[in-house]
Amino acid sequence: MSNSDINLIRKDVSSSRKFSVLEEKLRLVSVWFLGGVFVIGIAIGTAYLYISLRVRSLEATKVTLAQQINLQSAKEGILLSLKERTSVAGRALEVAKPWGKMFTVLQEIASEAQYNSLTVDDTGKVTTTLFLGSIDESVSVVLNLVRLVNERMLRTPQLLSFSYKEDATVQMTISFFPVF
Amino acid sequence: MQPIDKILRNYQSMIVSGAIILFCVIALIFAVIPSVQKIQEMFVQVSDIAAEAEGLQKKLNVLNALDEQTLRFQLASVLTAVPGDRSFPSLFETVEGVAARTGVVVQQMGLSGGTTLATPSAAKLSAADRKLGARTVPFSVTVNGSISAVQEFITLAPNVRRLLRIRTFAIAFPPDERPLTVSIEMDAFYEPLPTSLGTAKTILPELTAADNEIIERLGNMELITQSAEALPEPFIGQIKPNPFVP
Repeated sequence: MSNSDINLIRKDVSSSRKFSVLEEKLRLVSVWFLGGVFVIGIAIGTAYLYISLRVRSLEATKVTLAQQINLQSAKEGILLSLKERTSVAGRALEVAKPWGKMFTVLQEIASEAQYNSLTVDDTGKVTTTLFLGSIDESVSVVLNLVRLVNERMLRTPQLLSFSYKEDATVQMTISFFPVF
Repeated sequence: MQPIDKILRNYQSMIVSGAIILFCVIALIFAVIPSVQKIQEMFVQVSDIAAEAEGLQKKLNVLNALDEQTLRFQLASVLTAVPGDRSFPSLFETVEGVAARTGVVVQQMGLSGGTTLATPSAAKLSAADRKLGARTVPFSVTVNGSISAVQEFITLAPNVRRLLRIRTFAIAFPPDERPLTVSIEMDAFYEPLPTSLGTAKTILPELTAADNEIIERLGNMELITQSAEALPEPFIGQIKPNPFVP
């Protein structure tokens, strides 16, 4: 037979049974593989389509909601102003002290005529200078201070200065923190 | 070529199956796996967008539930306590009003500390303001009166609607029957109005029970001023035709 001759009869190369089994299994695997990739591809395509539609829908919803919110910007601005102001007012009310009540304490310590000066500093400490007619009056002032401490109307009283003058008058400077 | 032809002819079935398997593996590696990752990212994106939309819906629901007129009324009340600017006229009118109410005589009143003429939003917070967490206008006032009148003044001043705080004071008790002289260092509070709201996604501030309590308390405080300043029209959301006109 020459080289130009064509033998159309397919020669069976599956001479061994094992080879034919392998060939069949390979064919089955390829079919299953192809089918699986096809199915997965369909599933992925469907999921992609669904998610795209969902994203589009949510974006449209967001735009609508944002527009509706912007229409109420005046109300939002009022609310923001109100919130900021109440925050400041809350802090202001928190730090405010009822200094008017301190006068009640002062009246308990001594009479108005005995006071010479009074200062209240940033820390809330009250410092006052009294001019007293006698030692007895100064003792009375000290006893009043002790009593008021026990009654929790003031705390940490201190005698800052005490001077006894020739005319038997007394000048004393005391400090304390009123309790509100 | 004959051996190749022979091989192709003899193993045609296996070659085709192998090519299909190879194609599937390549498709799996270069198409399916990246697609799955992309799908996962899109799922995360969907949940993020859904959360944003839910947040916007909640914000809209809260805004719809609020009554604008009530808010305006509350803001007007709170603005008299904490104005949008230093509002020196209302400050002095309040102090004079309290003095007149309590029977003390104002001898002197002036601004103390450092103040600028800059607009409130441009002014920087002083160290004291930063510590307090609020903008203040420090000022001093000297009054004369009896001890009971002075006590009433010191009691009433922090309890009027233009919020004032007494920082320090000094009382001079004259030896005779002359009235007391009291020098008081005080602070008034203010807070500039907001100039921008941010975007629609900006979180909406909510009024807590404590805030409502403060609003009610401020509303119950007496307003002692001769003339109340008109509530400025909110310009947020509206375009002012001429920005140089108040």
